[in-house]
Amino acid sequence: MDKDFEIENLKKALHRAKLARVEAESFMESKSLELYNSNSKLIQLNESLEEEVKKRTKKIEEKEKRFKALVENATDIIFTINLNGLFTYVNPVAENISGFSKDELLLMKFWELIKPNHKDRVIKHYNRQLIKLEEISVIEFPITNSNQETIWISQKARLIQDENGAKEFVAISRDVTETKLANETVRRSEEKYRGIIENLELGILEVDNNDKIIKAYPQFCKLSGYREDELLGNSPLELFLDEDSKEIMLGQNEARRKGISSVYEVALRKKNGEIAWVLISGAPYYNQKGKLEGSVGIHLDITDRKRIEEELRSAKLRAEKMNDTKELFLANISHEIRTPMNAIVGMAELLENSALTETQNNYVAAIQSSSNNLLILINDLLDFSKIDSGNISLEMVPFKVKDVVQNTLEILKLKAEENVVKLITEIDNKIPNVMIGDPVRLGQVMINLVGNAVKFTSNAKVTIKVILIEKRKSNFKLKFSVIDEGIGISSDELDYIFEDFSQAKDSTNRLYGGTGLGLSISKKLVTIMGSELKVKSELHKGSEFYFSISLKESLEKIDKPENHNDFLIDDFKRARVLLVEDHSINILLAKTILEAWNIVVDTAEHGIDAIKMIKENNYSLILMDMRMPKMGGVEATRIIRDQLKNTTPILAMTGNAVLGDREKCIESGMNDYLSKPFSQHDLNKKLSKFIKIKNLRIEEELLYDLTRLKKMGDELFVQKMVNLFLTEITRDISEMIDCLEEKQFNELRDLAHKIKPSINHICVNAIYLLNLEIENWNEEDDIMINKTHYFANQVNSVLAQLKENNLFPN
Amino acid sequence: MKGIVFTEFLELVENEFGLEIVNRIIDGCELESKGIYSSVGTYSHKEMFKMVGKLSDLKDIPVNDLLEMYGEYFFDVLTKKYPQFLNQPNSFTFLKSIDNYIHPEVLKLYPEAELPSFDFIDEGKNEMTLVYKSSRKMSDFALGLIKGTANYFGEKILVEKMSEKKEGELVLINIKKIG
Repeated sequence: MDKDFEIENLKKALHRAKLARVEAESFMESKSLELYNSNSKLIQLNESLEEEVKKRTKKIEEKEKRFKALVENATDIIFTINLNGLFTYVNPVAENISGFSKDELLLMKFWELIKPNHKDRVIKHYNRQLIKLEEISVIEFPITNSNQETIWISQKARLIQDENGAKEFVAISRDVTETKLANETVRRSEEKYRGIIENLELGILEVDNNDKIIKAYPQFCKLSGYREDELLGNSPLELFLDEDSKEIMLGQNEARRKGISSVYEVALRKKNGEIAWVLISGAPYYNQKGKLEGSVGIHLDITDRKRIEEELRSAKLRAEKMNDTKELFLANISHEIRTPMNAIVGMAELLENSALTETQNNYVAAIQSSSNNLLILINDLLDFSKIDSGNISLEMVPFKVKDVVQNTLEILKLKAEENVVKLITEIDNKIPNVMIGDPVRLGQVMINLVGNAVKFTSNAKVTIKVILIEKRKSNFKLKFSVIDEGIGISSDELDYIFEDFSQAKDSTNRLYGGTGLGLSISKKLVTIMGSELKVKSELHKGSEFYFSISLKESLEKIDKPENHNDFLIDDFKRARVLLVEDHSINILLAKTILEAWNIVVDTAEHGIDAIKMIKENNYSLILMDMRMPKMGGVEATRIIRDQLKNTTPILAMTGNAVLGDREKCIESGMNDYLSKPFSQHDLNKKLSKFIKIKNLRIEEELLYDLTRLKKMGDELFVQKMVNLFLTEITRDISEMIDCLEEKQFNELRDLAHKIKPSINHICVNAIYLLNLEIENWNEEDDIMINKTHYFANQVNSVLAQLKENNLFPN
Repeated sequence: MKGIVFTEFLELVENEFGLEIVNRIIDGCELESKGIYSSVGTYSHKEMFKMVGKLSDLKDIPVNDLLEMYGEYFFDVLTKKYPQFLNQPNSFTFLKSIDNYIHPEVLKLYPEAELPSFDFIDEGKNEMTLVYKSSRKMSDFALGLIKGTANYFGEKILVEKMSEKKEGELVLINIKKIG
């Protein structure tokens, strides 16, 4: 039993052991498979790891190689130093720039190279980086290389750290010596110019694009009275400017934005409220990219200048006003003198034409000569004042140079005869007939120069020469010379003769008279014409005064002068004229003259009267004085023309011989102008211009006389006789001329005899006397031939007059 | 729990009490493994408690004593099987190497193993306090192992529990060298 039990126990245990073994084996199998798989994976991993390690190693090697090449070939210095400052690596550039070899450098501390006066600063810089553990720093400093040259270095240093903290510096440095020197040069230059500008007392102000002050230099602060900190950020517009000036400034700001520089003046309000005038030179300024950043204004204090300018301006205004006053005064004086002068000259003329004894004639001549001298003097003074105040302008009208010269000769003819001076003219025939210019002023100069020449010459000749010296298109440059053989002017006196009121010598004045204004006026007139009056002279030999002026050729012809003959019209057929004049003696004078010419004269004492009379009557002409009480001539004329719409010709008579008066008269509507005092001749010319009388013709000398015929019979008889004369004598005279040409003198004598009774009855005595001479001549000489020609002409004139006068219309 | 703990336990029971007791323990415990253990397998520690409890009933020996006896025996088994871990000068250094060295090595082979931890406090030359921590609550087995350790190094020690907490999960064990 026990045994069986024991066997049973053993069997159970065995069974358990078998099962346990199976379980253990399967566990082991799965474990070993797991192990195998893990092992395979491990082997694979190992292999790929090895591969990866190889690859990476190679990459790292390549990278290192590249970096090394980069470092070795870099253009910058690259080096490392340990925390003691010892070089641990240097690239070739470091060797090149320092001049020390790699081996030498690796034994050195890096600050040994730094220039002594910068060493402390650099060491401090790196200590700070080390303490603060800053990764990167940049600093510039100079080093001394092995050749003892100074090299400026810009150095960027990176602090390298590992788990134990700061380890070393890696630095990249660059030679910046050139930049540094250039910067230094620029800095010095900038300092220099800033110094200069500041010393120039120019206040400089910089503003940005928003017109805010970003810099104010000391001189500007001084100028404005503000400190720089008071100015910064403010707008100059608000701070300094009044409303008026703001406009200017805004315009300037606009210009600045367009990149335009300019200079302008502006009134600037200082801190203390005073106004400073500044001249501002404003210019835009740009950054390196060329973008507008703002503008710079350079201010020059011109307050003093401005004040002086203002004073000068008011002084000028005062002077101008004074000048105007002077001119007005002269005009008044002129009028006051001319009015009585007109009476003197006119009355003397009337007196001259009356029956006088020889002594009385001499007295009249003296009055006239003195009056003329006085007139010249007044005219000179007026012209002088006019030119002096710059109120003269030149006329541009067509004229003939020849006429100007001829007129000069006419005027000075008598004086020349007095001084036994021969006047010679030479006018270049290349000069165009008609030019454009001011004949009056040119004539004035010529009269003055020739007058002087005649005055200082005796028993010799004075030559007036006009030559063409240059022609450019329609511009002709003419040289006018007046050459005399007179007393001449010494060289030291030549300098003064053109001065106002001067004559060559004080004694000259006593000897020759004159105001001494003539040359001065002439010189000024020539200057106004754009030229210069010059003189060449030799004492006792003579002088030459000359000038050259450019004139244009005129395209228009000059109208033929209205009345070229010298005949006076003595019968205006009771034309009615209104004389507007307040001076009683002048009224008497004008009335005396006008009535002698068969003119009906009404008088008005001033403009108001005149207007009244014009409304009531028809006048052929109005003679108008300029200055009158109540209403003057100009005002009256305006009313007559504008309000009355009256077109009656108005002739101004004025004592204001001031230039510009003529323009004033014409402008107001007057037709012409007569300057007082005027001669009867001048007045007559003007009257004949405006008073158109039917059948009025120039009074010729009548060469026929019908009184004898009229005594012999009635009008019919006279008519028959005249008609007979016209037919017979016309034929006989033409025959007579034929004989004269063929020298048939006998036939000629017969003809003279034949026509004698007819000539005697019809022609004036002078012709009959000639007729007798021809009838009785014996010598066949030239005198007689000329006389016969003259006789024939005279008889032809008689025929013409008889026909023209048409005494007996059919 | 590692299979070796079970196989060695049954080996010891068979040697000390005979195969009949082994069969009675296995038959009377309704074990999930049906008492089939291999040293390389892993089994629930509850089976160990069941079997030790059964043995205690059968032989009328307290469970504590049985576990301690088995611990002392098991250490002897370990010394023969894994002499490489015993390369230490004395028991104290060996005990200290358990957490630092031996257990990490065990986990390499058996990653699923749940091991107790041994911390040391009040460490002196001849006396130390060991802190046993394990959800298995097998401090008595640990006591036996410690005694086995002293036996191996030929040392005489006194081992006693100082306090138990969390129903035996945390136990302070005092070890004193004697003589």
